[in-house]
Amino acid sequence: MRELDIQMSVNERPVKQRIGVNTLLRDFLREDLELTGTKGACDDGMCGSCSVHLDGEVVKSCLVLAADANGRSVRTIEGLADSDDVLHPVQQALLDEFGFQCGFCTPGMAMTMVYLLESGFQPDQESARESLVGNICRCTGYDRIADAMILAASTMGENNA
Amino acid sequence: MTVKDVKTRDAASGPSGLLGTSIPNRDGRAIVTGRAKYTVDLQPPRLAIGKIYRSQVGHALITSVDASRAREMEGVLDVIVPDDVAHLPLVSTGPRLEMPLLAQGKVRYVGEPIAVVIGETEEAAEAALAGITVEYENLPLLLDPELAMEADAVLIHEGYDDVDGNIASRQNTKNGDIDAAFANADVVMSERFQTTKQHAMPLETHAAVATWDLDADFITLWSSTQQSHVLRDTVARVFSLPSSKVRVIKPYVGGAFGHKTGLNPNEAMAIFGSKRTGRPVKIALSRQEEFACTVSRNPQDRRVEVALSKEGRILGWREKIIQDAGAYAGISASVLGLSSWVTAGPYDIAAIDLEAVLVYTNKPPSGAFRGFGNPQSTFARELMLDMCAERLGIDRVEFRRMNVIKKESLPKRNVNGLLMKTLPIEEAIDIATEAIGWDALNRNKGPNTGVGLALMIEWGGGCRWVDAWDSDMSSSAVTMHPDGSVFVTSDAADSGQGHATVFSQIVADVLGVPPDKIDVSLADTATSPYGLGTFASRTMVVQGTALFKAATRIRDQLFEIAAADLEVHVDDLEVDSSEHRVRVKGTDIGKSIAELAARTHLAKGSLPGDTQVSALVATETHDTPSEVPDANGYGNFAGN
Repeated sequence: MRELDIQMSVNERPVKQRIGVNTLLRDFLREDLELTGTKGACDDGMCGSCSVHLDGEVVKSCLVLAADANGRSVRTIEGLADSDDVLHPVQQALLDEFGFQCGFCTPGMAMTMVYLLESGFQPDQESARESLVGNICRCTGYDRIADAMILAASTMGENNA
Repeated sequence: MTVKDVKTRDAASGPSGLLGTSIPNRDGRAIVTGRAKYTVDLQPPRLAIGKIYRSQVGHALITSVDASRAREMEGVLDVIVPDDVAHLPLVSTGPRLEMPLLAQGKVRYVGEPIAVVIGETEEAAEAALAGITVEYENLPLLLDPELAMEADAVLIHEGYDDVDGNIASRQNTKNGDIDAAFANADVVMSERFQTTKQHAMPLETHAAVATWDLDADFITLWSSTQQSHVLRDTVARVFSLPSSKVRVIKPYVGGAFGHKTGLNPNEAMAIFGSKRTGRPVKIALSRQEEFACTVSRNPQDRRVEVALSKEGRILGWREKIIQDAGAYAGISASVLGLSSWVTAGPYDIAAIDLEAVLVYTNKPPSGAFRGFGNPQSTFARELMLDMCAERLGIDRVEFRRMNVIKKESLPKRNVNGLLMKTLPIEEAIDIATEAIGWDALNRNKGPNTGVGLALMIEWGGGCRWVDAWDSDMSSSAVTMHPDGSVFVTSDAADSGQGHATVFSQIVADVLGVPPDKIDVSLADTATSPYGLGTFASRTMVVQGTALFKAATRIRDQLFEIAAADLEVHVDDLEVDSSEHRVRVKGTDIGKSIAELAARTHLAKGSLPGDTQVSALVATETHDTPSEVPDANGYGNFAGN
C-alpha cells in the first residue's frame, strides 16, 4: 500500500500523520485519532452517522479520503462543545428534547444540524425532518430530533442577537 | 387533543414523584458529546480484526475449502476453516441445536459463514478473503416454503426425529367449538395474507470484541447484545468452560430491536480467534453482511376464514399459517407460537382453530424482531376485519367496537387463555380516533389515499413462550455504601430505552436517595445478577419490579434501626426524599439515611438489640405470573 504524509487541523488542533492512500477520512478519525464519536453504519454514504465538517461544509466522512482532507480543517462531534460544562446549543437541545435513543446516529445528526443552523436555516417540524434526510435514525421516528433542531435554532438565534 | 398530548400524559408516580416524571437521561451527555463507547468503537491494544468468508451459494455441499493462499498473505494472523471448529457444538437461539459456527460440509443460505480471517488490520483481513477458495456441489435451491413442503423436496436438514421433511415444527391452536361456529355462521369470509422478510436494521451492526486469557483460561466478550447472561452461558457451553470463566460486557448498544439475542457467529469466532492468536479480536459486520446474513422477521403466509353472524358478531376464526424459518429455525417456533396466540387480539371470539407450520428454506435465518410474530398476525386480522365490516355493511370502527372484549366482563381470559385484567380498548379507540381526526380524515381523503385503524394486544414479559424456559425471570441488585450512596445493577441491557435513568428513579423513590448519588451499571455478567435480558418490552415490568423489591429490602433494614432509635413501629416510618432521611410519618422527627447506612456497616454498638453489622446488599428476582401454554396453545403469556 502506498503511503502519504498528511497534515490537517482537527477540532482546531494540528495533526500530522502517515496514512495509506486509500484510508477513509472516517477511519482516519476513528482509528488513528481515536475520535470514535464519528460513527460508521452503512459504508456507502446513505446513513449519515459519519457526518463531519470539512472546511465548514458537512460531509459524509466515509465518502472522503483522508488524503483529500490534507491541508484542510476538520470538525467532529468532539469539537462541538466549548468545554465539558458548556455544550453546543445543538447538543444541549438534543439533551433537553430527548432527541436520541440508542445514540448511534446522534453525532452525525448533530453535525448536520450544526452545519444547517450555522448557515442560518430556520426549521419547523416539516423542514427540519426534510433537512435531515441524509441522516438515518432507526429508533426515534425523528419527532424529537426535529424538536431539538427547532429549539437549537432558537437558542442560537438568541445567542447571536 | 393531538397525538403528542396522548403520548405525554402523566404516568403514575412513586412516593417522591420521580418515577413517571421526566428527568435528564443519564446516558444523554455521553451520547451528545460522542463519548459514548459502542462495541464497534473499542480498540484495545494489539487489537486484531476478523472478517468472515461467506457462502456464495444458497444450497450446496462443500467439497473443499482451501485457505493456503490466504494464510500467506501480508498481515494475516490466522485463518479459521470449518475443520478447526468441527469439535465445537452446534448452536441455536431455540430448542433444536442445529447451526454450526462455520458451515460443516454443507451451506444452507447465501452468506452462511464458512471461514474467518484474523488480520493485523481490517484491510489485511478483508484482502485475504480473496485468498480463500471454496468448491461447491450445488443442491436444488428452496426459496418458497410451499415448494419446500412438498414430499419430494430435497432436505435442508437431516437427522432430526422431530423434523418432517422440511417442516421444522407444527403447532395447532384450537380452543372453543369451531365446527359449531362455522355451522351457525350467516356469512363466511376467506382471504390470504402474506408478509415479507423485514430487517430490523439497527444502526450499529452486530459487533464483538473478545479476549481469551490463556493463563486464566478466561474469556471476556464485549458485545452489542440484549442478553449478557444468556450469551455468557452459551459461550461457556460452546467452549466447554464453566460460566464462571466467561464475562460478557455490554457497552452502549446502537439499536437492537430483538435482533441481537442469542449467540451470533461473529461473537463465537472473535472468541475463538483470540484463543488462537493470543490477541484481542474484533468482528463487526458490514452493513451488507448485517442486511444479507443476520436474522430478520419471519415471513408468514396466512389463509384466514371467519365465521360471522349477519348482525356483525365474529363467531369463529380459522387460519392456516405457513411461516418461513429460513435455513435455521432458531427461535422461530416460538415466534410462530406467539403469533398464533395473539391471533384473536383484543376480540371476544368464542372459537379458534389455527394450523401452523414452520418451514425451512434456503434463506438467511429469521427470528426475533420487534413484535415477535405479533405484526404478521395483526396485519392479517385487521385487514380481514375491514373486509368483514365492508361485506356486512357495518362501519369498520363500529364493527370493532361490537367485537372487542368489554370492560364489564373483566377479568376474563380470551379464547387462547390470555388473562385480561384491565383492557381500556374502548377508550383506546376513542382516544385514537379523536387524536388522528378519524372522521375528518375519512371525509377528506384524496385519491389513492388510505386511512386505517387497527387494534392489537401488546404485552411485557413473556419468556414462557420460548420453548427452552419455564421462567420469565430477571434480577436486580442494590448496594448501599456506608455514605448512603447507592450502586444499582441488573441484567437489563439498555439499547437506548433509558434503563439507567428509570432505574435511578425507582431507587430514588424507594430509598430517598437523590439520583445523582445513584450509580447504575447494567448487563455486565461480572457484576450483574442473572436474568434473561432485555426484549419483549419486559425490562420495566420484570427487572424494574425486581429492583423495587431489592430497594425495599434495603429500606426495611434502615427502617428497623430508625424505628428502634425513635421508639416507634416500622409502620410509622416513611422515606422523606427531600431531606434524604427516614422520618416518623406526619412529623419532623427523623434520621438521615447516610447516618443509618454508616452505622449499619461500622458501628455495632449503636445498632438495636443483637443486630450485627452488615453490608447493605439486596438482590431480588422477579418472575411474572405467566403460564407455559398447553398443547392447544392455551395459556396466559403476558407478564403484566
